[in-house]
Amino acid sequence: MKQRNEQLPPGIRGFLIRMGQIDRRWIYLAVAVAIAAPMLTRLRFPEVPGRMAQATFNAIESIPPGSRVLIAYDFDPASAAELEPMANAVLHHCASKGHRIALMALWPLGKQLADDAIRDILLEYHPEKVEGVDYVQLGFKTGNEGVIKLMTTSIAEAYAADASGKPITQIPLLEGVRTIGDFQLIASISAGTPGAQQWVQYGDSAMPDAFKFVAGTTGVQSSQLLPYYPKQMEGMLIAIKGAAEYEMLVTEKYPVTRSADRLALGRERMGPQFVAHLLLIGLIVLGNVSMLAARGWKGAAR
Amino acid sequence: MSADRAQQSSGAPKSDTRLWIALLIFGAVGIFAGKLWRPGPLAEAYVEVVTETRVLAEVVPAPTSQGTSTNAQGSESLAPTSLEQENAPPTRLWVELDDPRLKSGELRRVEGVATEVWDERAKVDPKKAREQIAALESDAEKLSAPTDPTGLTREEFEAREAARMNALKVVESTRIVASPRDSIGIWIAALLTLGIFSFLVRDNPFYKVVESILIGVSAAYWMLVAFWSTLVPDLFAKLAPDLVRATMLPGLAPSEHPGKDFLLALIPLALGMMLLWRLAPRGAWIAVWPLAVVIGTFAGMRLTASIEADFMAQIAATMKPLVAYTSSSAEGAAAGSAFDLGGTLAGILGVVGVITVLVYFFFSLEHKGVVGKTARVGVWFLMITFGAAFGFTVMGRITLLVGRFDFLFNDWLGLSP
Repeated sequence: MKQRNEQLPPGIRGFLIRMGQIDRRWIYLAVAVAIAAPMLTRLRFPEVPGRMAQATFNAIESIPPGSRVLIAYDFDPASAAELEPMANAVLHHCASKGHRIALMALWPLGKQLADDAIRDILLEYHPEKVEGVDYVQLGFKTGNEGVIKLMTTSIAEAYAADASGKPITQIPLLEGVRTIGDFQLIASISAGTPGAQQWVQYGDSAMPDAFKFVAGTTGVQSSQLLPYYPKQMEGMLIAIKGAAEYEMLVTEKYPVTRSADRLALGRERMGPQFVAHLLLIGLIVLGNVSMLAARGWKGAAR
Repeated sequence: MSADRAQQSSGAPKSDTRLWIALLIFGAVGIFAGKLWRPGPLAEAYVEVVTETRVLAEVVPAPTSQGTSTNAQGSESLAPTSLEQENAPPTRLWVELDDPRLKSGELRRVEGVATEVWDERAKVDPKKAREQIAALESDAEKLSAPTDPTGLTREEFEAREAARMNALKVVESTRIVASPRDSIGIWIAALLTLGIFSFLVRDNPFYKVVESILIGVSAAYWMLVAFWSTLVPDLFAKLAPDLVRATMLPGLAPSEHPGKDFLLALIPLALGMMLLWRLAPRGAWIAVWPLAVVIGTFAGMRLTASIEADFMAQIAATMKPLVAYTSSSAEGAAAGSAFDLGGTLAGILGVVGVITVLVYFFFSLEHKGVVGKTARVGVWFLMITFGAAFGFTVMGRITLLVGRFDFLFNDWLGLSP
């Protein structure tokens, strides 16, 4: 390496070529600093709601108070950093609007995340809500898309009881509910399979006009799901950006007086995103300039 | 080559040393500054402890067997309604000690079975816990002083004293305590996180250990999930419900059709055993049959779903008007709605994109001339799509890193305000 550096041309071209050969671990360190610094300084930027976040907000707003909403926690802690902020905001939005909420999970650990959300969001901001009347935790059910398929014909076949073991026939919120078509809106917070795509394929397609469907997705999964918007999905929240925009819409209309940080996670995480993206763009430009400089130097040497 | 290797071996340790020093300095300065800024213990964790009690009770048979009885609250009774059910052993269930059905006589305690008492521990946010502990201490101090009887009638004094005692009872029964167990958990999680991050510097034994733990724990976890969420409720509970209720799931509800459930459960049991036949030295072909069932079922399910959701609906969604108006209806357009430039461009772009990308994947014609140029445009559309997908992936991965940093800074180092 030392020998190669000695052969490099002097001046800015040499510097640029050397930058192209930098040890990648310095880049990791730069990314760590770019993320840590805004987090510690609580750097935040105002969010302008996008079309999809607004559509999601409108879908939940458009159904009358008291409507039944099913929220599927189709993710686990590995994606919680990205999806938990939007799941929290959707839950608070539905509860604030007065909808009756059923929570379920197609991922085993989704049930625990939904339990946390009931404790930290639903009962924190809406302590008046009563289990079984205003909300119900159905829990995790194994079977992936098979569960959705089954719920299009009979929810009782998939969930004979809620997560606490109470038969669903004794739960007032689910009185008269036979299939997912008896819900007015379904929201899937999805990290992969099974998730939002399966809800479209097996749920929405089987009952296209029965309920509104919205989804919150990870950045990685979003390109798979974009074709479903807006025909098969009324709204879509894409990654932390979508969560931040939606959080802003929800907290503007339904502000909270305590523990407000739990509904600001998305916006908090956009600060480090911004700085890290600037760094990445800078590195991509630098890498290309360095490559061009090296190419020009090699051409001149030949 | 050997000279290169010698240079690398002499250069790498220096580079590593610099990196390690930079990391250590960065970490140490960060922690020191953070603790100066926001003093407090590391890995602080609190829980609210709630004591739960349950007693075993059984349904008291109704005095008459004519129809369903109704209790004082008007809800449907759990009492048996037919002669067969009367002869069956009474249904037993675990209920809270102050369950109203015990007082109303609908349920009675089973003699000789001890009361189950245990503590439920719910995590509490450290900042909130500190505030609550301070508030509880203050309340306890205020409430411990007896009510001043000056200027009060006897009734008023007794009412206030009773309210004070009740409030004191609530305060004393609320237990928010520091949880060393959870603190140790946070330390383990933090060290495991740093172990994974250490791979970024170079492969090392610490990383290998953490990686092995991750793989082992994941495998064990998924095995347990499959056992408890599939095998126990969907197979064992249908084949031997009484045994499962006695040993695994005390809350298992009785089936309405036990015979039918038993017979239906024999099918997956047989298919599962046939699938395991792969491991036998002979007759591996037997495992092909259950595989065929699995593949056939999934193919059938996915085919219909994909045709509807990913084929027909997507084709319909592509059929957009090339000239868009602010009102999507034809009547609106006729009534003089404004021309929508954005919608028009999006519609044209969508149609051009679909056609050119389809042409790119059409290999029956050589990609020359008009076909070649169209396919080239399709390549550009594909590249832009891949770029957007990469951008989303970067955003997602950075968020995951932010999530881990959030844990390290706030849960472990306690740097949250």
